[in-house]
This record gives sequence, structure tokens and C-alpha cells, in this order.
Amino acid sequence: MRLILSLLFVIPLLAGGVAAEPARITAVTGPLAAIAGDIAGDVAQVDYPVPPETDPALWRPAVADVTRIQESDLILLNGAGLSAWTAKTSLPRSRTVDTSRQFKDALIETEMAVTHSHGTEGEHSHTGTAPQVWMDFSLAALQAEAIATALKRAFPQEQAGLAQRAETVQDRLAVFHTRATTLGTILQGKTVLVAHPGLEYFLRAYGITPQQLGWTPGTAPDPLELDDLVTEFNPVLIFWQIEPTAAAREAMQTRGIVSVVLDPAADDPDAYWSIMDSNLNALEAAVANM
Amino acid sequence: MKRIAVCLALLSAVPALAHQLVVYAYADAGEVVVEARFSNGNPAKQGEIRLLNAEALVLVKAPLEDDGETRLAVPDGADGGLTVEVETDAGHSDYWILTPADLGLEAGG
Repeated sequence: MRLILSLLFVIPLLAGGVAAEPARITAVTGPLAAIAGDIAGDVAQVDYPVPPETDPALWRPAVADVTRIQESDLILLNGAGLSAWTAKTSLPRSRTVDTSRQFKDALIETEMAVTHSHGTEGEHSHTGTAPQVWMDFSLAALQAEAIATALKRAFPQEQAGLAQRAETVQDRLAVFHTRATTLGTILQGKTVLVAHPGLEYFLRAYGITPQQLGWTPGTAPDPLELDDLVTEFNPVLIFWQIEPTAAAREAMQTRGIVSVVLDPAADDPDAYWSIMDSNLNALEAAVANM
Repeated sequence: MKRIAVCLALLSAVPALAHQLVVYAYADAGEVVVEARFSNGNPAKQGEIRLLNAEALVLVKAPLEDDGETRLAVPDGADGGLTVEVETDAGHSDYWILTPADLGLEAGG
């Protein structure tokens, strides 16, 4: 009887009855996870480890999260300083890919407004790197290329399928890039208000002249400040990253400024493609009515 | 609300390591070695190290050594890994995460 029971366990093992754990990729932002998922197809499962309603730039993983990430077959980083936690633990170098490494020279350095003093260093301010590189679709395409290269190296037997799916992703990004380039051409010579930092790569890539405001999301702008902006810059559009308050939208509308929401979608792998499409749809609609 | 919370943080550029506290930790011969330095290379001298277990409970508190390198025995209860937190008296803070593998331990073992 014991032998029969033992055989019952052994036979499925010999027949490959224990399913191998699927290959697993960790991607640290929504856009990377979306792109990696589309390229990987069935070759690997793509994990986006950041919990819902948590900013990927500020997430601090628990030890168990890091253990799981360290065990990934591939770890995809955005680079550009996003995801501070990736510099606060050991990640396996051979399986970790900085997807913006090949365009470090194109990263945008910004001067932070914070000036302070402590210790022996005297008064100083901080500089920083704008992290939303994927909002320039040509840079997103380079990130996709880095992902495809890493996947082909990790799963050489799957090269053909990976290459095919990578091409489809490149095509989709190229369509976005073309649409954004056309919009940038239409907006040349016009000033666009930009409510919050975060669209630097989009603005630079598509030649849009911004007037950065640094407003706090969720608050209505000061009417006097707004009037001054209108007088000085004659803006036609304002870019928000989240839906403005009704009061803010109305304040713009009454001054002839069209509000457009351009959401970087840093935290939403499932909706990355549709949000980028919606961003461009909104901008195309705004430009068509100008 | 979710997107507002996320965007609020992402609106800003990610600060470069101009002068921030940078903590690095590793295991060596049954000890956790904690290096705490500012990004200009100066050691962090005054402050506290906390070792937290996988459930984020503080297992050990210890003062920083003057040369920026502090060695602490791997405490009981570190089987699930450790988070090393450092906070200086001037208010800078940083952390390093050590998994069981980093500590040379089996997870849960």
C-alpha cells in the first residue's frame, strides 16, 4: 500500500506533473510593466510590485517584497531617479536593466526650489532629474527596445515571438509620437500653461513652449495671478496631470484658456496605452477647437 | 483620489544626491555592517540606527559610530530579513533592506 502511494506521488513528477514556476519579470512603473507585458506575451509574467494607490516614486517595499523582486528573472528599472527604493537594496546586477541607460544624456535636470541650510554645508538648493521619460514617445521607444533586448537575452528560444511583439509595440509608440509631433507643430509659437511639473519630456520632445506654474493640484488658481498670466503670455492651453477642480477649469474657460489633462500614468500598467491615447485625444480635440 | 495622491508626489523632479544621507548595509561574519555617509563623502556621526524585522518591529537601536561605519550583531528574529534605518540628529534619514539571502539566511528558517 505504501509503495502504491509513493508511486502515486512519483509518477506525476516523472511525467512533469509539477508545473514549473513561470518566468517572472518585475517592472517598477506602470508604463514599463505595460510595455514589458505586451512584448513578453506568454513568455513571462510581468509583476508591477507597487500596491494600488501608492506612488511608485515613493514606495518603500517590505523585506518580503524585495525578496520576491530579487528572485525575478528580469528587473526593469525606469532610471532617471524614479523608484528610490531600487538604490536601497541589492538587486542582481545581471538581471537588472536600467531602461533609460542608453539615453542618460537626454535626461532633464531640474533645479528644485528648496533652499535650506544645515550642518557645515551652508545654504544650498537641490537639483533633480525629471523622471517621466516615457512621456517623450521616442524615449519610450528606446525603453521598449531595451526591454526587448533584455527579454531576447533572457529567453533566447523565444526570439521570434518577442521580436514580433516588440515591433508591434514600436509601431504603437510611433503612432503616438507622430500624433504628438503633429500637435507640437500646431502649437508652435503659442504659450501653454503647465500647472505642475512632470511633463518636461513631453514639452521638450514636441517643441511646446511652456509657462511652468508649479500649482498645487486640487486648488483653484488665484484670479489676479491668472489675469497677469493672460496679459503677459496670452496662453491658449493649460496642461494638468489630473482633472482640475471645477472652479479651476471654469476660471480658465472664462479667460479663453482650454484645459487639457495629460496624465503620465506612472502607476497604472493596465491602462497605460488607453491613458496615453486619451491624453492625445484630449489635446487633439482642444487644438481642433482653437 | 488615488490619482491625486500619486500625482502629487510625481509632480516634482526626483532629487539628486546633492548632500543626502546614503545608507548601505551588508552582512559580514554574523554582523550587520552599516555605512552611513552623506553623498559628499562625509560620515554621518550623530544619529541612531534601527534594525527592524520583516514585520517592521524594531529589534535593535544603536548609536552611529563617528567614522560612519557601525557593526551590530545580527539580532535574533532577523530570519525574515532586516530593514536598516538610520536617522541623524539633523533629521536626515535613509534605509537599506537586507533580505534573508543578503544575510546568508534561509527565508523563514
